Amino acid sequence: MKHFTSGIALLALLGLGTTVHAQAVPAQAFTRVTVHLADGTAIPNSSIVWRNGVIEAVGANVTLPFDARVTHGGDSLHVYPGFIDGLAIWGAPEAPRAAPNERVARPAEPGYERAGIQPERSVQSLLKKDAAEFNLARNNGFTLAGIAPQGLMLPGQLSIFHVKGEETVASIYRRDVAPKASLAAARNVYPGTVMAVLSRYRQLFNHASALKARQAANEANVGRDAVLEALYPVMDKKTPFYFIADDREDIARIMKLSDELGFRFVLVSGKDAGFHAAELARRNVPVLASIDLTAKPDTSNITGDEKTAWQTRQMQEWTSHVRNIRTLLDAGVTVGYASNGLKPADVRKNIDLLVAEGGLTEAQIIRMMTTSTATILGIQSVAGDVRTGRLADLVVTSKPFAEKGAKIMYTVTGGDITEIKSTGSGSAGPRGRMP
Amino acid sequence: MKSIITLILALVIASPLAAQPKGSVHIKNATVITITGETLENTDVLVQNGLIARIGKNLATPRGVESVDATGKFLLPGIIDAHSHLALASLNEATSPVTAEVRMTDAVNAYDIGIYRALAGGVTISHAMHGSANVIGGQGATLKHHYGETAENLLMRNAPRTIKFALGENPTRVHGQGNGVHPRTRMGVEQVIRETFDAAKDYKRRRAANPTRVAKDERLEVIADILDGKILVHCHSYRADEILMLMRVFNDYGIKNYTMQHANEAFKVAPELAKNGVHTSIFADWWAYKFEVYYSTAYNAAILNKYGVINSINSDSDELIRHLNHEAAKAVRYGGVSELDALKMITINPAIQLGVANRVGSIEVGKEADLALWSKHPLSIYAIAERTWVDGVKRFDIETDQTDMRLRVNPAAKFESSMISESGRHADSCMEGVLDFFTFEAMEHSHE
Repeated sequence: MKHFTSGIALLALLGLGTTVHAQAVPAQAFTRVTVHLADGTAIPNSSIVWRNGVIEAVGANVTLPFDARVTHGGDSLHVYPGFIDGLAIWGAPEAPRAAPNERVARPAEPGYERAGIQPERSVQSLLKKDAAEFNLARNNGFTLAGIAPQGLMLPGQLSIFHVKGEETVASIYRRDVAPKASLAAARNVYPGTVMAVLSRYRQLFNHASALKARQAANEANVGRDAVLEALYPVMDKKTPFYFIADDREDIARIMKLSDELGFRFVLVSGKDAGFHAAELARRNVPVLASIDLTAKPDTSNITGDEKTAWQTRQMQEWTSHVRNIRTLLDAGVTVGYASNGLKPADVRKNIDLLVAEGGLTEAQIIRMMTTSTATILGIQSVAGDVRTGRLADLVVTSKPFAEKGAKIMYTVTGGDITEIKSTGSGSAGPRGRMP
Repeated sequence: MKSIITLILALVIASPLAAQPKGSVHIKNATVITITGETLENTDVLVQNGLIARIGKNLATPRGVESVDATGKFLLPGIIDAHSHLALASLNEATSPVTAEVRMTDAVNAYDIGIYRALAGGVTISHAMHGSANVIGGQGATLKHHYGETAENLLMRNAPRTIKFALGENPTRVHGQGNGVHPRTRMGVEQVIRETFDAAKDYKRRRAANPTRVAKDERLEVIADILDGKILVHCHSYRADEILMLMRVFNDYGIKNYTMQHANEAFKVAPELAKNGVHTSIFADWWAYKFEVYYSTAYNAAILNKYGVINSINSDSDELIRHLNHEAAKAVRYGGVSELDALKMITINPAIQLGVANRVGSIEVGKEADLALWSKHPLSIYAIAERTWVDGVKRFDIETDQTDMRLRVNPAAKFESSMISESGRHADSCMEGVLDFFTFEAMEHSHE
């Protein structure tokens, strides 16, 4: 935003201030770059022009507008759609933890907040504006992110933000998209176990449908309940739950509960979701997958038959773990990306592992982190690809992204360009020049 | 190494959509302990598509059906454990004295290797119960030991619903002394039951009158179903006075067909239990692990049996479940129960208590083929279960038993030996999970 503003200021100084309209914001461009579309097509020797945060032209034979400010980073840069994080918790305060010997007055009825039932909460008021992750995420190529609060069963709403360093919290793109959900139990109070959490969901839906029916009938003395009302869109299948789960048995529990209560859900994290790949595809449940992979088991110093056999099995399990996303894709599941606590700095090494051992190609990884995530978030018509009319959300690398040693040189977020210094802490200020 | 990989492939769990599996087998020339009829020498049992199709001599083996030579061996119905906490992801929702709404079917852990160990002891069904922290705990799950299937396929199809109640020290300690809510005393336990029953009746009236104004209440719906006789109650109890109390309360509310679990002092009130048609499910000889369990006897089973109480012998333990045949044999040793009656205590009697006696618990044509083939008479200390079938599917075979029968492993775990480190009986395993909630000293003592 900063350099748009300064551009406008400059125009104003030139005496054009009174006639400023959209066209008066200068265009920006990259030239002589290789553009990678979300479908894997690469267009070498291309230009890309954007204005007002929206892409105006992409291709080899683009005529640059007279006012385009060209960022020139050399002849071999690669431009990809900006990465989208489907569910991040950057800047969201940690959920308060119960003290081990906490004594709660009425553990059977702890109230919504203590039980972690807060689906009405908006995330933006909770976020720490100066969280380091906002800069780190941008430096790692992320331009849009769904961010949700941390907590237990129903921690609050996911909202979508443009990733712009310290301006991220102010750069909200879609507010309160859908509630985040999990099977996390509340220690020391009800629901304190996974079985009670499932029962609590059932009871919440019972209460919400009764309240809704009474409100619809205009009954006298019907109160409001922000918690229950926040569940209406999910009950009406207008929005899904963003359900966090990894373990296959937890995922089975969620599928069963969704049949019972009739809600849709996006599975978030899903480290063990490959087990249910066919079933998730059949149900059309998309997955915002975690790439927080377990390190390869150490098979050195193997001695003894029992240990050898044990480690052979462990390697096999690890292989299926690291190929989880590939398994989902092969079954036809829509797989996007969610960091869900993974540090931005750890993204790169896990992507390398996915390419080396996870059976994924660069194109599959790019699609997962761009257009597939956009589809799951419901913003595929505006984000997730490098095409005319889409948001100018781009990541620019020194080599093809999946190649070893590829460095992120720039990110463009909503048209704002940031040069990524190799020190890691990105700062605004392009090396642009006016033609 | 090759055999290990083959084994792993064989262990890969079937897809979650698969129907509950059924198998066929022809078991030839066994001593068939039918339980409900004569014991038949040199007899064949033919299982087709999960059901016992024929029992007789020199039966023909249908094409494609495996036959097993059982000469000199004993075929027993699969053992049924009416009190277990095997294969559960959570056990005690100890946050409230009444948690009737929680379901153990929501917490099944199909990957528990204890299921396989139970199969190796000839056990084909276990009753996965909520713990005993609450006066009215959660609803139970009757599990068929289809080791290698998903949680959904472990659930015995159309088994009657059950629920756990608990009297005495556990609920008073957790709630009264732990949380300062009632019940704090045995008197309070009775009042919690009565108040909850009354609340359910009241709720049912209110909801029937206005189903939109009154939200469906998951907890009270279950209580109302208990009052309507739709759910079988299994009540943790030890002392004779509390057993009498529960019978009085249930008579007041017209609840029938229930089972006192543990019931170490049941022998004192055997005539009253028989008169009310109340069942018992007990330990063979396990007691003195807390104050209310000091007055006990190994003759409990014999006395209850003599008075005509339908009694089962249970494990309440992932270790003890592996040799319930030994536990039944103790009833023969202490009090001279007949061998057949002792075997009934681990087969047809627990089947009655779980409401599934029309389907399992004996070897009869038309019943589900849950069977175990024993090397010797199953009450012999030398008897070994050699093969175990669930719905006609062989789930254990001593011939092909492998060192590592885990269904999955944690890729991040450090090496640990697969040797069983189980030390035997854990006092009061019903209270497992409660310490996650409450950590005061009085509780910890009970776990020693």
